[in-house]
Amino acid sequence: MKIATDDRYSSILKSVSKPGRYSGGEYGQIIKDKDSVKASFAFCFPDTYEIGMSNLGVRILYGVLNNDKDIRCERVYCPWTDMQEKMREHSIPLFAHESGDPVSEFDIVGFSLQYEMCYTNVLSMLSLSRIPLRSADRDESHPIIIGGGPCAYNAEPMADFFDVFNIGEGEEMLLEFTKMYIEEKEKPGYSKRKFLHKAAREIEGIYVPSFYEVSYNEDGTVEKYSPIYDDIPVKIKKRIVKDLDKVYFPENPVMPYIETVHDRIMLEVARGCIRGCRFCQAGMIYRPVREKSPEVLCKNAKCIYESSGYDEISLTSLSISDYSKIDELTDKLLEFTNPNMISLSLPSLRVDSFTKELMEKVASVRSSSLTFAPEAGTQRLRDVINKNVTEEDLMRAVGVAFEGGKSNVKLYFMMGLPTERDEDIVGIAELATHVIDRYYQMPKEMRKKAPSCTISVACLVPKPFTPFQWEAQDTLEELRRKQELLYNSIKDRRVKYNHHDAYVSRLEAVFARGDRRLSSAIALAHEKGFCFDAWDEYFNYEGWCEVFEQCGLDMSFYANRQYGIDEVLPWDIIDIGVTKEFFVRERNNAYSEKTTPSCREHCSGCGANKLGGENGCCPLMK
Amino acid sequence: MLSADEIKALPLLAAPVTVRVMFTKTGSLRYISHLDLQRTLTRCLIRSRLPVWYTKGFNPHTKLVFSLPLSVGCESVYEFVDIKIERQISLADIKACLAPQFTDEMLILDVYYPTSKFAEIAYAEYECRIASSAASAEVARDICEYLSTSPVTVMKRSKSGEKEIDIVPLIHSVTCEAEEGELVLKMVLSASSDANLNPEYPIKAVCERFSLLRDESNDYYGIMRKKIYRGDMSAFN
Repeated sequence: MKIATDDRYSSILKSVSKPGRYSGGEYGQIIKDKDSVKASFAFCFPDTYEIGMSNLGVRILYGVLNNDKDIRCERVYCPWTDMQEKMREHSIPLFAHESGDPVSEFDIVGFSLQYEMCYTNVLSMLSLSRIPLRSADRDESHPIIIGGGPCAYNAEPMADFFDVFNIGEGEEMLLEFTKMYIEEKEKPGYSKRKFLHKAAREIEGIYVPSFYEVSYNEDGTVEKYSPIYDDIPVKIKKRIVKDLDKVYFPENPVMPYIETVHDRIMLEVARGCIRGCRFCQAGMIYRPVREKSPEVLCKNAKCIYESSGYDEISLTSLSISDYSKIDELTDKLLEFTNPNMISLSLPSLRVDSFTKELMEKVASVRSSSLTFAPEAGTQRLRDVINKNVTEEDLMRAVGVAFEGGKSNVKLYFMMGLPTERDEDIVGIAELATHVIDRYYQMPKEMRKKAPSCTISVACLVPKPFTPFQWEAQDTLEELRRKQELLYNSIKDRRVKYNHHDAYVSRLEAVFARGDRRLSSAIALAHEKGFCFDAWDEYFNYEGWCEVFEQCGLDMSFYANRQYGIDEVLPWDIIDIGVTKEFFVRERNNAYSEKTTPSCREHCSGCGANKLGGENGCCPLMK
Repeated sequence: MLSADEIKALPLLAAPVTVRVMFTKTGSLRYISHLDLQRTLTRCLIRSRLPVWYTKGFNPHTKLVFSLPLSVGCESVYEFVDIKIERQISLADIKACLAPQFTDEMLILDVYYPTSKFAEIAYAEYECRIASSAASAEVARDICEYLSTSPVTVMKRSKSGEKEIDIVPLIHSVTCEAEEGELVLKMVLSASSDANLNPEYPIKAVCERFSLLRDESNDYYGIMRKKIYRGDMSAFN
């Protein structure tokens, strides 16, 4: 029974903000007859409905699982704090959207771990579901709790709360896992442990944390990870979908009634990135680069357009202008978007491949914003991070934008990069001013509005599986000093400056490179009521400091320590294809200010090609 | 059912024609705001492939005109939206294209060429079911009396602030019956553009006056808009 259709709960729902978040009943939702399926899967997104509904990964996996006649997959989102309070007050357990059934009644409960600051939300959702938080405290009556998504590549801080993780792309793996569950649970003598053991043995990409014992050195670093069975992998190899053209693609999205973050068709064009920017985790963990063909993409776009009613298509990939057939794709898409008044947007455009033709296509119906990411203020530092763009490239790109009628440009930067000096910070301000100057180089008739350049500066968070994974994050004092330095260096009032919260970045760094011992901090934070840590209004840095202190854990050990090159890293247990040797080479190149060419120009032997894959650019690939 | 290509080939009308769609908004949809509903219907129209008229200009969009706003939490089986169609297409075909885009909680009841304007709307009828341990035939009678006798003052919130008003003149008629542990309150309230009474006001006033929602876990209410009328009390359509 759904609470949204029960008058009993109407006064509660009318008293919380955006009750539409909890309604369900959306067009496109998949409701199955409970008696006709053999397994039920509750797909939990540990953030609000509006954010969860915009997540492409959830959409894909929801479709993949429901496409199997034996599986019923339903969606669960994290209720907002006001609703959580009401739910606890009135003993309403966390429910799934489609049926309204309590999450605890599902066979498998999966969480998509998108970013570190959502960890307390995961615990909130587990406790609202009345499921014991720790895997060790659960028995056969509780669902199997599985985690996936980007943070699963180093899920050690959350390892104690999950029964199993799926590492890599879930389209095939999650289905195999669920089907194996269906088969196993029918057999006599079934137990969760036996099933998970079989899954760990036979399904590539399955990581059961309780099957690995961790020991630590005296200095606090990891000594080793030891599997407790000898028939499970010592290192879990991540799973990839080899041919993106052939993989199942859901063509009927669930259409939210309320406004969500991304109210548009998201067309995933490729996975992985050829550039190898040294701070970027996504570019590495999604390697080897694989593309979808324009034919398949157009077919996908048309199908979703027909089944959704969205009037905007967004091409998503880590670097869209690197898609090898970008012109062919945009031309093909425009053939049907133009006459149907659908706008086409291309986010994350690389400066050096941004052209007039590309921009005109995007501006052809309605305009979309233009953002570039130089990431560093000087060529020297850009070379260190391997962001192979020059100031010339940037000026040319903004010139194309301005001449195309845009008067606002947004630039992304980072601070706290290795080898960074004050002149690099000041360089950011100078670059922004040059962008404004470029605007005025246009003939007067073309200048319709006053230009503005917004610079958005993040703090480097050293991430696992990047050449910078060993780097120490700048201290808070240093980050604040640099933020102030940049602020004072901006003399032009047409340059707007905003920066990411250094305190949040610090916590991100702690969890990104954390080990299993951090679970006590996350558990204590949850006990204290921490939730929605990614949201400004709830993030409580002092509170987190207290938590760490009470747990006897040192944030600096994880965030500000230079990890040893020979150290055993908590995420060494995962094999993403790209090798540690490659990361060491790249780190050395960074410190020598040497750049590395893109995969298309020259293969640098990162190691990802050993995973196979099609329609990419790795040697030996089809 | 017409295909997208067949629809595109339909003859263009000299001027776009207005078509009225009557639909329900029930169940899960009761918490969807008016703006959300607008967005939802726009998408239904896009999916339906209907030759909807778009405004000309830099940002072309559809023009949807709704009858009466519905407060969040209230269901309705009597909602209207006017859409503009620019090609020659039969009402039956319009309904066939549109109906599959809706759900069973947002059902199309009728599709027709309107002869009335929304400005003619004067009253709306609401049925409110109040589950309460205090429900009885006596209380039902008292409620009718209460809502028919001025003054019943409430603090009405509007864009300009809060104002104390007497809601009785805005209550056209009221009946109340007691059923098993439940009160069924039927009210016809003013619903014109300059005098509109949100059913939550009389309901809250009644619940307070007669202490109907004493037990938080077992006492509750639901509201459904059943019908809309013109000034002469003829049914609006």
